Amino acid sequence: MKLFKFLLICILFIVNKAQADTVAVNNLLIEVTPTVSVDISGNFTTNIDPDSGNLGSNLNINFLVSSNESINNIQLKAIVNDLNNTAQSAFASNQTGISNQSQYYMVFANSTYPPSASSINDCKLSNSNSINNEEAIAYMGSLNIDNSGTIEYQIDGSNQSFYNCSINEGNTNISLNISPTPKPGTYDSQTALDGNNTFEVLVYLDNIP
Amino acid sequence: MKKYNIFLLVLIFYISISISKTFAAQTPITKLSATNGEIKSITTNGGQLSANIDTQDGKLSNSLTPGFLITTNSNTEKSLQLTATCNTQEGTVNAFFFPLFSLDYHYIALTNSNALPQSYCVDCVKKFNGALNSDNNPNVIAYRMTNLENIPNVMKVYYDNNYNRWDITLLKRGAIPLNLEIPAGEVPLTNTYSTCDEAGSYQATITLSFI
Repeated sequence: MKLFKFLLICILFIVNKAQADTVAVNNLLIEVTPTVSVDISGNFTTNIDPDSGNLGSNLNINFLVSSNESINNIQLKAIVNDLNNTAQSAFASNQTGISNQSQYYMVFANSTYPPSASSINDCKLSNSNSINNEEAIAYMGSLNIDNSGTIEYQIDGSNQSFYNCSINEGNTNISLNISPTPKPGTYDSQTALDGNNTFEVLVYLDNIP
Repeated sequence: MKKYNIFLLVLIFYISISISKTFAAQTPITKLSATNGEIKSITTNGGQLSANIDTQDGKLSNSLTPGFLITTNSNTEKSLQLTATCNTQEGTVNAFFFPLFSLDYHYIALTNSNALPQSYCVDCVKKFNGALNSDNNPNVIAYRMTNLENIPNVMKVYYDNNYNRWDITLLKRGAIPLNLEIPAGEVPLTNTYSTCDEAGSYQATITLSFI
């Protein structure tokens, strides 16, 4: 009975503190739960020149992922909400295969007057027309991963795109950078169909242990 | 003791399940945002800006159709004013007017730029719903304009008799054309065209602006 109580206390202690000890159960739990932390930094806000659509400065996010083991299938996602408040993926890329860098277009949506799903989709086409993508603007971006990690652009069964990331033990930087120039055909001051409001995209890492 | 062993196994199983569930965690959402500035511009947008006057009856040879293009990306209503002026010896005066007898029609006065009339000649045309006789408004000719109309979900228009101007409320953003018309083939307002009107170029200036 005393032995049982001792084991029970040890297990609870292990779960709460995640500290290794000499108990066998402890080792088992440590193997199941890798230690992962993510630190997020970057430049998240800027202005848009209404005449050109250019961003006032580059936007960027750096996810510093620290892990004590290799992890596959971390998903980098970017979403915008359409006028039905449905989340739509904001990434569009024609790159395939596994790499340590990628180019993409990222769609920004008017947060006050959200665009239609078709407007968002038009921004992702190879040939966009500003008449067909009101309240949505796309900007070119780059994605890089270090520490010998890899990324792969993927589209799921719901036609939602994301980047699948594989990282190695240690510190890995997953870095997004958004360039100031809008994708041709997604901003036109002559048609003026992108309002004088704030355009947003929501970015996060998903499927993290 | 068996009960405790079972409890222990259940506890370990529960902990394992809990741990495996956390494998779908996500980072806090980072919001990238860019705030767009306002676009507010008006440009001329073609149209027919000149015509000849038939010396027999004062009719225009063709319609005058000045056009404007209003461009704004604002999602809130915008107010504009459409005004017109013509030159006189005393300076510019309001060229739009709305004779009481006309009921529905609005008019614009054109003045001879080669022989400017006195301002009272323009006033005379406005005050007397045309003119009592053709002698009191030399070098001023007034023509009917096609009324501006509301365009549902695009713009509302209102003629302000106090200031003799059109007040326009823009209801949507985008590039929106506004076209005026002084129709061809209609005789000028009563007694505003006569042999008292000297040869020359009769002009008015129409201005559209945000307020």
